[in-house]
Amino acid sequence: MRAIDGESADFSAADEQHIRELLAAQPRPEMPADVADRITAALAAEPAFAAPDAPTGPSRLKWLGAAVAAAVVVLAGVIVIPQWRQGTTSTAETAPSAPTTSSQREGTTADPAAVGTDAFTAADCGNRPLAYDTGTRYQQAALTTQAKALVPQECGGETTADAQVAATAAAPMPAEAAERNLKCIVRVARSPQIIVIDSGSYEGTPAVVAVVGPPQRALAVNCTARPVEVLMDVTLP
Amino acid sequence: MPDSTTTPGLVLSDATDEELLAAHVAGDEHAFAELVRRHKDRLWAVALRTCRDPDDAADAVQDALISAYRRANTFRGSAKVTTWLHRIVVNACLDRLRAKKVRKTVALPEETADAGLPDTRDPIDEHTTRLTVMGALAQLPLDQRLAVTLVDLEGWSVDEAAQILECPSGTVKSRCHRGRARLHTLLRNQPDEPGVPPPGGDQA
Repeated sequence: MRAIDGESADFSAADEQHIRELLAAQPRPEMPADVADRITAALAAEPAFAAPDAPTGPSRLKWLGAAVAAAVVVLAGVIVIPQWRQGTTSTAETAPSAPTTSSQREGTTADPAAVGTDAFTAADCGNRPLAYDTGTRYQQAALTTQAKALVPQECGGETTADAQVAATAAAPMPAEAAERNLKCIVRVARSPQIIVIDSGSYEGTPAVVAVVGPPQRALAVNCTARPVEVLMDVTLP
Repeated sequence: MPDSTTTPGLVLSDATDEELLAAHVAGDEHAFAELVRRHKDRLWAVALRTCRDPDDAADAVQDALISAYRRANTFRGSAKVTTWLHRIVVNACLDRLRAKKVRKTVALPEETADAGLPDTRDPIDEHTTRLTVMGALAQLPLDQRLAVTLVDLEGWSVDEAAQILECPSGTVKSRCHRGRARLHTLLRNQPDEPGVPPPGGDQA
């Protein structure tokens, strides 16, 4: 008589040892050369490692910093934006990003011109994610349009610098939530580059909507579910 | 002459894994590549046997190594570097498998069969389908397959496998036992498989 769950009732210790020996004798598959090459290339494309609190060197996710620094940044953003909107700098040249712990932003409260040094550029696409907390209700039928609207123009999207600033002021994602949501997206996205994330809902389910790429894709992810649940994953035109 | 991106005095091939990771965190641009070179085959083997699909395994290993590269400073030293790397790879595989399930792709039989492994769901004559050991492994539930892969195929101790899987050692032991029992059952039905001696029996 067989035990439940497909196990045999007559599975002896000797049988188990035999299975272990059989498994131990199996050759280990080597990583195919093309896979190894692809991984080598992907790692070579990464910037040199720099710890999040390093004073110099490239930092891909500048906002993964302390909550205190994030609070300073948010405050700096609130103070800077009105000055920026007053036209002290060209909108085409200055596009403050979402809350970051960049040391550059900390210095912008007294110097509107310095905002330009923190402008979101094409090089930032995927390297310096934007994070919003708009509460938008994303819909399946409109996801590609809604997601495209999040992407900065510098990354081929439709969000102007003014809109980025407005969204940053109106709905910045707190640093802790940003760090948590980024980790969530990184784990499920098949792309290491995240352009923008927004906290809202997808078809009525709380979700983080992210645009990753290239090639650009929009994901709706329930990061509060256990396990994390990808609700939608669609390639953007 | 060493350039500014290498660690003075560090011979990569002689360095321990911990030294390599520390050098990477310190800015050595070659240390992580040496880590990958040392462990890529083991990581690949675990990913392939977990994901059961070479493309998914490749994606998972790449994602995992990029993740490890970026957050190398989070390694606390409470486990071995290889344990830490394997944990990241296993999690990447699990994420990928979950995402595939959620995307609700309709899997055709040829899409679910592992590359190079026999399709055991031959609708014409299942009795004549021969299972290789790896084919049988692919039939195990995920948790058993992972435990058996790490302990029996890759030689991790139960405690080390428990660290990788982030579960108690007793759970790993239990999964291994059930997995081996199921393999015994699967393979016992195929006594004539070349190179696969009947479980528990002497070869003629």
